[in-house]
Amino acid sequence: MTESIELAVVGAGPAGLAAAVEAAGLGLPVTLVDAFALPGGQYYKQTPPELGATAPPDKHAAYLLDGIDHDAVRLLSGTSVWGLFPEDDGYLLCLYGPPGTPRRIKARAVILAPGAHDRPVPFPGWTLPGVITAGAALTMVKHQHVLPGRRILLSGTGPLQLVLARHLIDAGAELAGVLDANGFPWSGWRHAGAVWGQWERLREGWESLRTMQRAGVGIRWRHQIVRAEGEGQVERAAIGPVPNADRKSLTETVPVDTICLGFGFIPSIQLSRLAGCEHTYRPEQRIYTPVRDEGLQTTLPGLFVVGDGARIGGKDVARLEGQLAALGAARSLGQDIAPARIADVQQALARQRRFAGVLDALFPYSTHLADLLTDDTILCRCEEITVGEVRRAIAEGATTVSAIRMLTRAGMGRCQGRMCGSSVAELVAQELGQPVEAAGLPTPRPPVVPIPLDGLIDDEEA
Amino acid sequence: MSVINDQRRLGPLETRQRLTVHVDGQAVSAFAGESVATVLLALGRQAFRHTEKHHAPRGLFCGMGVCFDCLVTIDGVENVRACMTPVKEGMVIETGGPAHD
Repeated sequence: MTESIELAVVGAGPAGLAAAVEAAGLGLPVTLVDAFALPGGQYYKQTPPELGATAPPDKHAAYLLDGIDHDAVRLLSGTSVWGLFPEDDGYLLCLYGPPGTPRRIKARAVILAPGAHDRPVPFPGWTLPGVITAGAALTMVKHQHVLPGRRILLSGTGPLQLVLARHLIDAGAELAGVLDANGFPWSGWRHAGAVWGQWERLREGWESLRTMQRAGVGIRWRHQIVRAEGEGQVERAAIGPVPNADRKSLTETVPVDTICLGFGFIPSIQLSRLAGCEHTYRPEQRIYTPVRDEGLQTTLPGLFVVGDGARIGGKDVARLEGQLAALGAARSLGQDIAPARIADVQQALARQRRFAGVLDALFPYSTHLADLLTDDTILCRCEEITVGEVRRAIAEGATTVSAIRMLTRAGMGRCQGRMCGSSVAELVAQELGQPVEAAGLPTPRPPVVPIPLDGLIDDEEA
Repeated sequence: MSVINDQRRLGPLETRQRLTVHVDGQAVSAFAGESVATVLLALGRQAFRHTEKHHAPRGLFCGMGVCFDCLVTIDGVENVRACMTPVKEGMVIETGGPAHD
């Protein structure tokens, strides 16, 4: 039988944890579903205790990770949500998890906190083993206590690269370089007001720079990876200046065994899209986000989306959004919530969003990623579809991501387009001289994550 | 005798619980709490499998269960994400898939 509950929260990063803890504090029973073995998501990721417990990254993380140990919170770890469907007075969630996990839950209100993944950036050789995302490298060195490689190149944009550089240097890796595709953020001084008070972040940035300086590693501004080379795995990285439209000017080729890509993040909008709420394109972050009201409710009543899964804003925006959505969900479920309480959270959120806005302004999307594409570059990693094949489909008249999916199979593989969707849209935009959003989004189809066939069956039928 | 390769591992190892897993028929030393991807990286192995179409090598990419590139066969179950799977004592890990004639 499908179990009926009041509130489901999907994702146990800062946004989902904060939503669950806030709801529990209001006496609202909440089911928190998380794909990972341990709660925390990416920002509050926990090192498995067997590898030596590490302190939570900040006081909020400590409070929230403790806070879900509450009678009103049921945590379903290692569990994927593969379907989300509106029904009368609520939503049907389809789950797949360890034995004993419910397969179907009907929730009157749902808060999605699905997070984001590193923006995939195709270039020749990017499918070679040894080319990994900055997020993967950070997880390996910080939470799995293993060096992903010995001699490592970082290419991307923004301050998270510095944090990764510091961890890699401290772990004994040799950095072949840290490349930032943007120029030095000279306009930073203009944002002093919004940065004021963000001491913890400034300290982290400063310490990262000092570690890099001691290791003799500088940032090369306006540079990025151009090509990865090697037999069976990465052995060399060709790097070049930005912009570099014909890829002809190569600064140098450096011997490396690992290349980390940190070009920003893409929200995981698969579930909110499947549910059917409206989404909009945000050109400043080059992402799609669900349309939300002030209380973070989507265009579907009782469905909220919070954190980086809606719009990239970092852990503190995520946490406050989770809290705010929990208050809104509680109210929609009939609880009496004092307006002052909502106003307090909104005020704190506005402050964190100002800071997130500064990062957007100082470290924008690198508009020169398309320079990197050659006809034989793999665009869709799963189905092994090249840029040339997609260009041919565009030449044959395809103008949307959906049309290209049908013509080439790009986006039909196991990752369900998460790794190629943004690149396909960017390529269409470039080829046709149209805005990125004109290529649209592919039609979402369940299951939004691959699950074994038996996982599609309800317990009753099994 | 299992292969012990701790050079890429970080931090004190004495307090950890050592396990033995089998990678492509070879007994390999690992630690509780590590993912299959971690054990392969610690061995210095970056290529985890080959693709169906071009038989191209692939390994860890996103590290968070999204990209489905780090697929290996675990205890006979194909296409399991190495980055999302914690090791267990006696686990049988097969890389290099899918099988080709």
